[in-house]
Amino acid sequence: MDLDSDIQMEDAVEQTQAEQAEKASILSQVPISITDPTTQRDTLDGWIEQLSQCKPLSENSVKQLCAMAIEVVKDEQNVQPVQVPVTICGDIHGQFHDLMELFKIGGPCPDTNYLFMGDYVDRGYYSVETVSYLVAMKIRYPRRITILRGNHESRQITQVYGFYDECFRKYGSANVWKIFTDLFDYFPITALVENSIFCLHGGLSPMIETIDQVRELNRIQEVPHEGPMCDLLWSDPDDRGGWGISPRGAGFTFGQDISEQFNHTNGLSLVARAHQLVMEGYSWSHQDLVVTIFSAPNYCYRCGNQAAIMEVDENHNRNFLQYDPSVRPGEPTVTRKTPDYFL
Amino acid sequence: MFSQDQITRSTDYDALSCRLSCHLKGYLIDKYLEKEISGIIRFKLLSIESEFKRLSVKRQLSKQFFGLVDPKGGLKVSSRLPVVLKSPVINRGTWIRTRSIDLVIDQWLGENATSKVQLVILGSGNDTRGFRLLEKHPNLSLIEIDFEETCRIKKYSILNEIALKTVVDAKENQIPDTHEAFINSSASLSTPRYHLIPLDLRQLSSVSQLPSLDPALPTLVLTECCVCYMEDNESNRVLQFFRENLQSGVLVMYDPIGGDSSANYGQIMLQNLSMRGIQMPSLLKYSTIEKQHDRLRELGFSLTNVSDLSFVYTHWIDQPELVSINRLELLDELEELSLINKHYCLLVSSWGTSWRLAFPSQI
Amino acid sequence: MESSNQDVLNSSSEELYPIALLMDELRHDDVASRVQAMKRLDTIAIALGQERTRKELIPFLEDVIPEDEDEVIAIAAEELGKFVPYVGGAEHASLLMPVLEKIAACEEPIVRDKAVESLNTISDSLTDSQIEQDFVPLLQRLAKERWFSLHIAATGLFRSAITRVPSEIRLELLKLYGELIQDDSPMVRKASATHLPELIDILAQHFSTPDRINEFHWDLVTSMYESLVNDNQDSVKFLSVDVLISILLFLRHIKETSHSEDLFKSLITLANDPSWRVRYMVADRFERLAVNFNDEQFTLKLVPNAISLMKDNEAEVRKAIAKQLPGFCKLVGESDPSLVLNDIVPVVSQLSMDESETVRSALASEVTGLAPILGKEATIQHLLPIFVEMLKDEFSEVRLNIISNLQLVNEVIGIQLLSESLLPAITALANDKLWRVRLAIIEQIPLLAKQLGVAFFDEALGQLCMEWLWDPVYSIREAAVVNLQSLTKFFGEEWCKVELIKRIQFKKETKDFENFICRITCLFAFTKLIPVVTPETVATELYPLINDLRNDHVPNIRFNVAKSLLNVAQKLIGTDRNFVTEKIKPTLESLCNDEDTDVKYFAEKSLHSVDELLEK
Repeated sequence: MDLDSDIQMEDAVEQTQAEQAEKASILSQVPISITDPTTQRDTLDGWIEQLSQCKPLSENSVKQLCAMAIEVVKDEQNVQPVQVPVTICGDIHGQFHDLMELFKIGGPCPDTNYLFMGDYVDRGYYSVETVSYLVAMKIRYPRRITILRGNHESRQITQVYGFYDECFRKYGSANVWKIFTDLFDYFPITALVENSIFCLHGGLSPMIETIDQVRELNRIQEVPHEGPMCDLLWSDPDDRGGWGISPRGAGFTFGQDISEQFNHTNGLSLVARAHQLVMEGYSWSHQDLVVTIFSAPNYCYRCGNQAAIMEVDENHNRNFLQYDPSVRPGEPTVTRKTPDYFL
Repeated sequence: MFSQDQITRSTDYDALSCRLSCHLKGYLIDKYLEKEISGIIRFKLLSIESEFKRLSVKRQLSKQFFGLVDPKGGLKVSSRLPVVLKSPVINRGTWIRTRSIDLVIDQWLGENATSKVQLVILGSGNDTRGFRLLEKHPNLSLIEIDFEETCRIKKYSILNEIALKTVVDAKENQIPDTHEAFINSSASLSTPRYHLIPLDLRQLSSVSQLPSLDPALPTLVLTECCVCYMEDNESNRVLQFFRENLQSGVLVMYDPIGGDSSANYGQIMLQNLSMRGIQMPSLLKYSTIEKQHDRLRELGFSLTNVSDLSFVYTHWIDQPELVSINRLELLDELEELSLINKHYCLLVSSWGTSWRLAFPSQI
Repeated sequence: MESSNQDVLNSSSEELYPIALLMDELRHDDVASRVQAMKRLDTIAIALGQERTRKELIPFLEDVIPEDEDEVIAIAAEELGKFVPYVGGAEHASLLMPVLEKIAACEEPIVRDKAVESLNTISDSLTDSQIEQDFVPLLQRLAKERWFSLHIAATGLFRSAITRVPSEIRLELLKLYGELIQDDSPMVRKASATHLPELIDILAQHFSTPDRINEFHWDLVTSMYESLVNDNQDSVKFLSVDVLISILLFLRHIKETSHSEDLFKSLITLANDPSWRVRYMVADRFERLAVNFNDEQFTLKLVPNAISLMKDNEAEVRKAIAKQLPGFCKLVGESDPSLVLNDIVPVVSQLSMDESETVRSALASEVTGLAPILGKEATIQHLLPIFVEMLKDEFSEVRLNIISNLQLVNEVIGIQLLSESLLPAITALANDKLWRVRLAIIEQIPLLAKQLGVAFFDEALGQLCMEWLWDPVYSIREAAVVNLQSLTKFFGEEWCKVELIKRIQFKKETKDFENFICRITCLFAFTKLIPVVTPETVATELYPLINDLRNDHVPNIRFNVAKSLLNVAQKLIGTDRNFVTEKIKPTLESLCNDEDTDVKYFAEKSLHSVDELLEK
């Protein structure tokens, strides 16, 4: 119970996190050679350890991290092949503590293989820590974790939805935002699990009939405002048949007929995608041809939804695990962090 | 020092900053808004005695209004917008809230265009809606009721600005320029068409407290996020007061609802708001549109229209308008918008008149 | 003193640089940049040297700071607390006070508190005469200004001055404090009431000997207490409870009992206050209050009050008193155990069915603490039924809190009885839909096992322990694996072979083993058992399954085999070196050529360690 009615100001400490964490870490004194694998692994393990405590890396470390990450993800394919068993996850949106909860439910990486379908940043209060952690894991265990691009992994969207501001707040400049958004351009945009489950952030595109057409796209660019790459990251399944104009202002809505045709043409059993808040954490549409997975519980600290992940075992059996928000000590604790309501 | 009422009054600034964000983004065109906010900042600061507190309030206001407060204490909007306005989901929600209430009032005024009518706005705060209506409807008289502190600031914001002064047809010229003079001045403003009444609505018990109210005129009573801050019995008493004391009228009520108890949206909302000290005593009691419906019926209102804002969004607005709104900025949080909108209701009810709203009702 | 090295170094060039740079940075639009600039304040001061810090930096800060954002001011306030050496030591320390005084006037609590904290820090380096000449006047200024925020700041400063001034000034200061206790603004009264216990404790520390006891100013202190008790704002009044505790501590220290009756009366009034916040505070401090009256007749007189707080209308009050029950009942039990059983326990039973889940949860976290007080018989008869009911509570936290605190009950009634009465409830919870409840149960299993003995354990819980291995949630499987290791430590190797190893080996023959999660869990379980069984068992029972998995088609399993084989090698190196060279090493070598990079990496790592083992 709060007996004190004084209204506290925002947490000034937060702005110094990056710096404090760096002081605490001896990494800043270690010369890092990106080419030497042993040093690189030790450095990464140190970063992962630091990040797992929700302490952001220094700007300089982020620079090195993203440089290494580009080397890893640039050679991945537009349709990155993924093997079973794998656990497929949806939006995270900077809810770092819930990401840790996810690993408690699904098992730690690298023992469990993961496929994340984008939207690591924006909205939550820990986008920097979340995306740094996932990227560090990706470099350390490239075969064990796949990270796709979501529509929020873009320069334009992150300026509206919080990642830009968070970087500015935590690092005092937009440099880290620029470094990360430059990296996002290299993220693969779709994945194909054993030629059977097509995974992507948004949905289908009227300009894409076959998976081979995705392979032909030039993905290394800012998410365009229209066109196939935009659609893959923005579209939504809909109860209405055919293609529809998306009320989001980008991408399309697609009906069951479209999903049937696409899955048939490409020999798929399922399209797995994220992008939409679903109250149970997952939701089937188009008679089980499409599944939506959303992995940010109590989204934006306001929505009260459950989250879910989907385990696919080596025999292609699917199992959904649902979970609630992690116990977040004192978060959000401060006035400025209270989610907006209409008052 | 922070009384509950003070905290409640502070929500007015949230609403104002939401509307400013909408206005700057092009959702709503409100020619009075910037002028009004300028005045509010100036007189809010004048209402504070301590120099130190003034500094701190100025900083808070500056945050609230996206850093657009200029050093002299007005609002300074340049062609280059600040990077951070309200998020798109909040802009859409603010727009549909304002737009839907406009639609109701416009229809009602349109159908009463030839006779004298009055509009009563409860907890009007610093809303500029009334000014826009006064300008368009010559037969309208407007009564706004709010806490004394709020009214005093609004009064001088009006008198300080020629456009606002003209639209309410105010003759008064005296504007206090010291703190002492300001807090000792009257907070009420009365012109032939406009009455700003400083009154704690919970103290409302007799029509004599509202001398400018004509019980015989067709009246529309608007309460927009106002009664939700009151205790249950207090809010019901306020609603009943108008129901009993006006011969005929229309009540338009916009309020948050807690939602289904199985989902915990309302619980989380109360928790989040309590961090700012804001209380909504009956959010979980009248948690659905059905329960709000029953509440008003028991108070003697006949309901013409009960909908949540998600329904309003999809059923009241025609396609071309939605398309043009969608064009203003990308909205990635469709599901969230619809979730939030489902937790606000718009109730339109009438008594002593056959007037009916032309928009579909959810129940 | 002025000729520090920095001065010499910096005087040569860029004389104006540091302060100009700071000014520049403080003009930055972005708050974060200004915060960063403020954090470097010490660097700038060092660069400027002491004299210029005094003459330029401090006046500059006085100008600029009050205009800035709270975040920036807060940092400045904090930094200035460390500034005594930078302005030239104690003799110039007073120079820092005006700017901190301005900051202390800030309305934002965090900023104000930082300024007060820094002022207190600076006061440590002041001489007594500086305290009198500079610090006390500042304090008096703050306390007498018309602005409430300054009064609040003042309340936090008395503690640094009160024992360091001459007697007559002390009296003046306490009178001034008395005025703050009766300030017009409730916020000020609240702040002064909050700091009063500390102030009383400081006075008590210094002035409890007979020759100085007058300096405690008993009359002033009690009149402040009186005025708080009678405050018309509950948010002020409730703070009098802590003041009472400090007063009682003082009296206890000087062994003075003549005031006890009066003070007790005032406590009873507070306990029955119409405002729930006040009652809450009494409930929340109940044990400490009883302890500090230090008299069993008062303890016993408090029982009816405890009971009425347990029946309070306000859930927060019931919650608070529930948390105090074991401590308070222990005191009561020392004088009259029957009162606990006959008067308190029936109400505990009611409280266990309280309509508020947070009350039940609070009770659940403490109620097991009553068992040692009641003793075996009464616990069995009166408390166990309450525990059983609470284990079925619909609110998971209630169940969780009971389970996590069963150890205490066990010590009183023995595990046999405990398990007989609670096992049904525990087994029901073993499949609770919330994984954290299941986890809490698993964590209790080693304790139960230790006490139950093998036979009873196998019958009652053996099956469950195996089922948890196949839970859908990873954290449960992980805990289940750890649990197997603990059980083996208690029940020994033979038991482990029959009850665990055989069952897991059997899993291999089932269809479940086609699932990767099942196989990796078996692998984890066997790996975890290696340290707690003999080398023979490792070689004959555990190794085969681990080794079989070396060719698993899932790489995650193969690299865990590589990790596990190192554990096997460590276990066997002392007894069977050949096993390591002939079986483990070749397997690891072949895994080093695996197509998967992670398998390769972990195999190489294990191989390297195995080679080191062999070299020893």
